[in-house]
Amino acid sequence: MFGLGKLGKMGRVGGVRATIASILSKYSGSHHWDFGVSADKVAAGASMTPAQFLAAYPNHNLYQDAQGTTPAYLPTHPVGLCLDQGTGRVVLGAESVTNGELSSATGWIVDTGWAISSGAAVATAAPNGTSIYQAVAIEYNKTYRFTFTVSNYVSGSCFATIFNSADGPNISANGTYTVHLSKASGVLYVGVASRTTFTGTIDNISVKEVIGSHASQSSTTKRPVLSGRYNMLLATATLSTQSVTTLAASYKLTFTGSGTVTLSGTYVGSLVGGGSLTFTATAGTLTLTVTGSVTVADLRPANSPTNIPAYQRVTTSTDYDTAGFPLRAVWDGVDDCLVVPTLDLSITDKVTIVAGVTALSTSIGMLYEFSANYANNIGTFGAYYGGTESPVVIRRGAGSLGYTTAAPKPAPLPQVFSVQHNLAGATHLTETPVFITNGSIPSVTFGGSDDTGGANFRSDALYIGQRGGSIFPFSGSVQSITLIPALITASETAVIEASVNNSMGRVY
Amino acid sequence: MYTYLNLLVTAPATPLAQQLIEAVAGEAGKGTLSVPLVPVGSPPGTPATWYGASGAIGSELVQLLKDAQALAEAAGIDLSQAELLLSQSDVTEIDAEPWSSVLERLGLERQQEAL
Repeated sequence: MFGLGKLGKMGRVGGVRATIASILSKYSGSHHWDFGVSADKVAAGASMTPAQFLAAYPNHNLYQDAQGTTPAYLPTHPVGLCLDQGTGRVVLGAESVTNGELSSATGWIVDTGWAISSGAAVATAAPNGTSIYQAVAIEYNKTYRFTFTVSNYVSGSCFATIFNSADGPNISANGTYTVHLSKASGVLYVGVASRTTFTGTIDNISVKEVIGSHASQSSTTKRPVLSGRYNMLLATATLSTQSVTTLAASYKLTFTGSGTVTLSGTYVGSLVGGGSLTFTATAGTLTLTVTGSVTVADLRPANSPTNIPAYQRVTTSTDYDTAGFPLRAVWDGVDDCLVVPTLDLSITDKVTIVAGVTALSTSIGMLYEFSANYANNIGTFGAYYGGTESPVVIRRGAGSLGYTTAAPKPAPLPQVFSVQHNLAGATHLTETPVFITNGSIPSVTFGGSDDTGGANFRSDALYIGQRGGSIFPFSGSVQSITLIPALITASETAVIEASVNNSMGRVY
Repeated sequence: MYTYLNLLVTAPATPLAQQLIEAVAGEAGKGTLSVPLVPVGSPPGTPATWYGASGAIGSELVQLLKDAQALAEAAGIDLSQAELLLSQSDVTEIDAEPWSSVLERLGLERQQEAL
């Protein structure tokens, strides 16, 4: 069903076959944050431990924690780190450490309690804070992947470190470990250190930059969570009476069996003897009262992706069919937010953004916002869902805000949309097209006369899912956000949109 | 490794709760309880009466949210302080009670902000 792969969807651009990866590679400084997990990874990962999964997929881009020690690849896994795939994949820089295989002491500074011998670093009751380390060209605000192996573990703990800047978690067992560290602030020493009188052996130390600007969240409660659930019901094999929350939207109920499902609350009606019923609910609580035999039951928004199976078994909220159901990160509309610390978009003053989104609430929620608050900062942009018009796309030049909306589309709406912003000219209103494509949604252009332009895009943080990381939380799933610092062509945009659409299970 | 919880704490108790969460969870606890909540129908500008969080909570913290004795020992505070803190908290599993239901039960809504 998703055999082309998430980044493999092709289109014809300028007479050649183009892929999203080739388009990203064409435009230097591109970013691609993919919050989905491909069906093949989910299937393979179901029987793997996190360590086994990382061994099988070393360049997987989603991690449960902000330091990227544990991959996120199954339903209910939180997403604390999304690595940028600015060329269509995770790209590592050159090896930063010398003699990481520890074949000798060359290149390493060795503290008391440590010794390098027989091709490894041996710690023998190494005092707290002691380490083996070396100076490397760590750069500020970049992220580095540390990998190393612990063997012959006896006691205590150790951790990877950028001195006086960032430390990895304590490690107190044999194994091969991965951690992503950044926030280097001019201290150029990296190594592995003892935390609590460590006794064990370290080997195969590697430190490589992970190219790009990565989205992360340190606070566990504020991390979006991977979900592949589309059927709103529970215990669907043999349905019993239950209630669900609906929005003012169209839904489709299906089941087999000779029984009856009577709907009350936000919609009044019934489905007798199986089959399907498409109905329009109001917002609130819908109760499904079951009599007789009702099996293989499924309730989902009527505009759900078309290329997913018609029935999803759901036993509990965490136990459901995943085969054929795209797994993507869901923001909870309470406090979830990922932050890309710094993007410098002043070089071109142009951006194209393509996003695959399913909004799940009518409350206002920021999908993304460049800077902590576009209303207070010149050279910004953003997009939010909610209210009567969604999405609302904003851009601010030197003047006040310019904004536009697509035709009102209430949640829940799976959607692929694209927008281009251009601050490179003196005035921009007529030269900034906005493509919003989702089948029937027409292209529109910025209206109004309030953005006089004349500014530069900023170098600032990009917030995904909340304003400034604290207000207007977005409720819904995000398949991916692609940001290219250029006005790409309409045909190139279409290729990216098609790829995202395919990953979402085809929403148009 | 994680349990998915709604965690709400009264405003006066929130600073202490945040300190304890960060002390136990480290960096992963920073920024928890960031959602300001007010009684339903409060006018804009009403100070928050509760603060909330919803999402993944590490296993090391979950037990402390249910057991005053364990919380007191882990945080190095008196048992009475731990009991008082937990009495000022509302902890539910997301699966058992969605965030919206918790707010409805407690008569709370999110503090209004200007767009």
